[in-house]
Amino acid sequence: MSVNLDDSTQSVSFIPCAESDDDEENGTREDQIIESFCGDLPDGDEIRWEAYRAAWMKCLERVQTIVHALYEPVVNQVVEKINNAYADTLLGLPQPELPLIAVSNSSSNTSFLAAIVTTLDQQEDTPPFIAHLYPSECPNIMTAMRTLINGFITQSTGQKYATSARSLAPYNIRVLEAWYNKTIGKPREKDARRNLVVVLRDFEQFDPSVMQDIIYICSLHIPKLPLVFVVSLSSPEIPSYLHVAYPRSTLALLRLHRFAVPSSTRLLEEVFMKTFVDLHHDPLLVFGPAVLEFLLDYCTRYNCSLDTLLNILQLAHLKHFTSHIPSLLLLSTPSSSVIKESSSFSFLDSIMARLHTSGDEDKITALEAEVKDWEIGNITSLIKTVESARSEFYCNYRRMRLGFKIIKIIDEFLVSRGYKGLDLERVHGPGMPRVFVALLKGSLARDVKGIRLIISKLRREELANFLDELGHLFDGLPQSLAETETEAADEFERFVKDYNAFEGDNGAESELQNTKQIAGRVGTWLSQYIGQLIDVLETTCFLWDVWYTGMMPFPSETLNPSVKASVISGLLYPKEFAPLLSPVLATALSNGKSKSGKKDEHDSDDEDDEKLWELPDTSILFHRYLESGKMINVYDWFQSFHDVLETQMKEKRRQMAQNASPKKSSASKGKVKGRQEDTARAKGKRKEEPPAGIDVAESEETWNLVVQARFMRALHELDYLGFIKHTGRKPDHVLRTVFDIAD
Amino acid sequence: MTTIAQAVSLIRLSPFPFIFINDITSPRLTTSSLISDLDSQQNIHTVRIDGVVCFTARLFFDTVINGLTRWEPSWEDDCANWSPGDQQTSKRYNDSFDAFLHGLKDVHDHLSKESQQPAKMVVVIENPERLKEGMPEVLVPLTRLGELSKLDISVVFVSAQRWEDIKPPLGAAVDPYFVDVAIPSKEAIMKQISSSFTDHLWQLPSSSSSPNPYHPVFQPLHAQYLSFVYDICHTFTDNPFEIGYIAAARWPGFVKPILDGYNQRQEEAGPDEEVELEMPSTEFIMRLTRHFKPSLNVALEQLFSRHTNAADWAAVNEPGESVLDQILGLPPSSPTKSQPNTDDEGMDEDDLPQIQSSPTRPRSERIRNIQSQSQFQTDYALPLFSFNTNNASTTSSVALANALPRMTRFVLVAAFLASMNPAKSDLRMFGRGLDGKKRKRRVMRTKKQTKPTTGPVKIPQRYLGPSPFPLDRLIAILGALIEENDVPDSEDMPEEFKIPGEYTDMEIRRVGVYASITQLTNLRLLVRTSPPDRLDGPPMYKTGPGVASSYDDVSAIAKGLGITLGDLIWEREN
Repeated sequence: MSVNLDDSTQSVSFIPCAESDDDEENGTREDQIIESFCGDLPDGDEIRWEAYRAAWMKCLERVQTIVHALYEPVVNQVVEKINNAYADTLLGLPQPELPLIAVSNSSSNTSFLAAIVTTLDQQEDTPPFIAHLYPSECPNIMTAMRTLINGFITQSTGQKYATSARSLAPYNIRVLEAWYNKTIGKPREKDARRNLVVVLRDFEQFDPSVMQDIIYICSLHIPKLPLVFVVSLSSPEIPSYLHVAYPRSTLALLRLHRFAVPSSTRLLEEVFMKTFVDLHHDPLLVFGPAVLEFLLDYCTRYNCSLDTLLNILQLAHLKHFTSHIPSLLLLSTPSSSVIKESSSFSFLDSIMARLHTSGDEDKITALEAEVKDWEIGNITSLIKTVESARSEFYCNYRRMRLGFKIIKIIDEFLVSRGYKGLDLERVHGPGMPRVFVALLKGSLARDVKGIRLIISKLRREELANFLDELGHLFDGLPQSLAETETEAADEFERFVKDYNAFEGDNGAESELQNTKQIAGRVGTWLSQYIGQLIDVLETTCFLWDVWYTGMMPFPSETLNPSVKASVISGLLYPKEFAPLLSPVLATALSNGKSKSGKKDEHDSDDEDDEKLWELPDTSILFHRYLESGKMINVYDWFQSFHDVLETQMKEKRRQMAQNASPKKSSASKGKVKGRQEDTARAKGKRKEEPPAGIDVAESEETWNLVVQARFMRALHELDYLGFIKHTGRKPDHVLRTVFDIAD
Repeated sequence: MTTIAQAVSLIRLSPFPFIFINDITSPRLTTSSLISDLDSQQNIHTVRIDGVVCFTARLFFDTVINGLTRWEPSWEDDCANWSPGDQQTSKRYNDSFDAFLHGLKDVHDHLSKESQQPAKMVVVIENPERLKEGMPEVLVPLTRLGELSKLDISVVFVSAQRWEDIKPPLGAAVDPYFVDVAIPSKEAIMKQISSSFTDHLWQLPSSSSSPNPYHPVFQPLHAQYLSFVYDICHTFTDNPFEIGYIAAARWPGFVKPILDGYNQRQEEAGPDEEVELEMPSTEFIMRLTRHFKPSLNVALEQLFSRHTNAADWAAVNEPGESVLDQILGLPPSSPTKSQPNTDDEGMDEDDLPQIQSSPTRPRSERIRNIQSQSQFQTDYALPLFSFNTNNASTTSSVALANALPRMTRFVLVAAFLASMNPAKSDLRMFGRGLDGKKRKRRVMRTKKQTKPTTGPVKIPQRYLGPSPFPLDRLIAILGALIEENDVPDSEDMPEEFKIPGEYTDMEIRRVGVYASITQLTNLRLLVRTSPPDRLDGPPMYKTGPGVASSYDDVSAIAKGLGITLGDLIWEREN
């Protein structure tokens, strides 16, 4: 497949990854490079894909369940209001009112409305007819009315209303009336009425003058047509958009019911706490503080809709599984037969290297050091080690959350008694999620130490209550945790027993003493116990980075890039934006490079030595642009561009000549990358210019034409990107718009 | 004889082709009564047209023809329009005015044949001013309809506007016969309310065991009640619809003490005794009205602006059981003493226990209760985002600030500044010297004019409303605000930013910022003034109506971000 990047008729070009069909040898060599450096299994990509799917689906399902539970009460209220819209009205009103249910929802409109629509549809008796209106369908009253009417009619009859010259116009509301009379049947029974629900999404986008008329027209036909409007607003409940945008005369026609969906901040908190912190949910991939912090920051700073939340979570999942080779171990360990194959040796190698890296020595606990020394001699034991590391990691993570829960219980207990509490939120940022991030970072140690002192000062009845609350916690532990924490539970039981034993004594003096003693012991034990629980995840377990993203930063540039900076750096370093390898391999390559330690002689000058002529045309022009003054003489610009292209042609001829001779086997990776792009580009150019170097007898004139054409194209590209301002003052000159670029 | 009756007589007796009725209070009600009066006359065929509903000529023609013949299109005949029964169905009356005139002739023939005498037709048009906007070409022939069709047909416009404002230019239209409806008197309004809205309610079935507020016994009381409501409302509105609306919302609550008393008496009485539901004494009614007077003022405030609807309002403000005792226990000699008491009674009766309970219970207990309630669903009751709400700001700005993310709030403040400050002031307001210090700037205050100057008087921007600004300017002001208020400390600064201001420069051009601007536009807090398909030049925006353009609200939002808005506004008051 050939890619023509210069085809102006294509808005998007697909550049296949690592395409090298024109140079077979090049390709095979690259494969070898990949294999020798990345340390991946042959079907590593598929395994990682499966692992990603499993992890992400679990996360997504969890979030959806939480959101659904959060929305449910409001959904039920709204549905009830819709059903009773014409049943319970106030008697004696001057005119029937058109029921309009306004739902303020800043987090997500689609899922909430979808929930309402499904609930309405699933109603057994008299499900209402539902028509949907979108802002783009309602540019004027005629189209809007037609869409509204046809929305109902299509739902019941399956086809639109066929109008003819002699019948009613399709935007006449009488059509709807005729259809409704026929559908319901003339002798209308009171209870068999089916409401006509109009759902309007993104209500702020509708033209108020159009909506005003629609509301007026509809209000004239109620209750003959039991219309109910459901509008979804993305603006908050106060200040009310409806009251700002619509005149009182329109509002007077409506019976306005307003509902507010739990705010997006509430949603974020709920999702965060129930997905990452809750003891009863075990995520497959555990996010480190860097990702979670980014999530919180982004949501407070920019946008906190459900979609953003899911986007960030999914991106974080993708990033982990695409850039981290060992992540294929997340779900299960490949069988020994797979690992024994020769193609898997590099993978095995890298895992073993992890075990024997001296740098990690101090981080690995004594137990693993022992394991490392003598046990992993064969593949079976390696598999066993990985399996045990997996369960150990999940166990550690559960314990960590338990530790957090205990800290939270202590904090809440103290606050509820009117004390200051642990004051976690003041130090670690607003909200419990931030405290949890701090915990993951390992910066809660001081607070935990403080617990001992605080608990030891509890009074008698407070101590009793406190032990009670802890008891509830231990009783309610999920199965998996209850198994591992039996020791702690026993210890705790002992305290309770001791306390109960003292309870019998009634002497005031001894009571004080006993309370103090027990409180002291509980405090000491608790602070130690929590200290154990909340050990930083990175240090507790071998291969932790398979299940935990740690301090790996979130790829925030993909979600929220700085537009200007991205465009400029794209023009300055175009190659960095066209990775020819998949991210996994790219990382692996860079890892391999740094790990192997041997400096390739071409490697060091890979970046600095990027010659101007190797760049695409627009980049060449942009480099020259940066060197010029405030105004650019277009002719000089063209001349300098011409010079660069001359060099480019010469270099290419030279390369062609080299390629014709036997290849050097020791070509560096960097060169491979660069050259490949060149060939790809050259291929792209082939349509408009004969390949440089082949036709030596190319006429000067054609070449000049080609250069001019390429110059014009690049110039217009820069113009389109907004780098050029035209001036009428000076002929042949254009103005620069961008200055002072620090690269 | 009312004005309507005069108009009806006029139509009946002399064929006046074009009548214009001007009613500034309630044209809708006038139209209704005109139509019903005309319909009661013999051999007059009416049709009611609404200028809003008939937004195209075809719709208008169809509605007139079908309306005059009382034709109901049915789904079975594909919603076919009326056509004379004996003729072929190839004719259509809705494609031009000419065809419409033919249609009218056919209708006239049809109607005359039915009633055996020449038929008289009347077309009553509400909201005729909308016809002028939607199809001005129809308006002139419409005023000369009788002349053009050579039929006995009258066209009546009923509007709240004057004919001078609707009249097509160049005197093409015939001058109408003017009928002005006077502002209705109290009696007329009350009569209208009871006859149009509530009379049918007294016929509702109401068993004496569980009487509802619409028991026939209450009908005289309702008349008194209406007069009472009118007295309170008439300073604000003369529209019978509005007064009727408020009256309907308060009525169930108003009667409830009487019903409560009746139920009590019924309970006290033996099972075989018959307790009569009777009209309460005059004194009781007086007490009742005095008790409900304050709540009617509240009703006017909330219902007239439609902040809530009548049904919800009635439910929320339903008086409790104690109101009856209160009314009965009131010593008649000291009405003034009871006044403050009655103020909140009947209003917040339902909310009262909760409100009172909160400050009296100890704080710790309260928190524990809240926590124990939420323990199992959400075991974290503390807010994630702390927001400074202790400033004295309006509720709407606080609600908005809580709902908007931080960057969006910055954009909103920047947009307000861009809308309110002249562009030439930006450098002075936000410029910095080379040393990085903020320049000393001179705030221009609007000076009191000592002597009258020539030329137009400069009106301060705050009276002119927001002015449009280009996107670039918004971004630049946003950059200045962020540089001053939202730059991380030197230790938190990411390593790649070394030059001062570089961080902000990156930050203000992020996709998230543009997304925030779009989001604000979607919320109509910003309004895009340039068409979206124009590519040349930057898009123009201005702040939207309401909160985004109000100094106090934006100032409160800015305060939450640590910005003192007053220092950044070019023209400060005084």
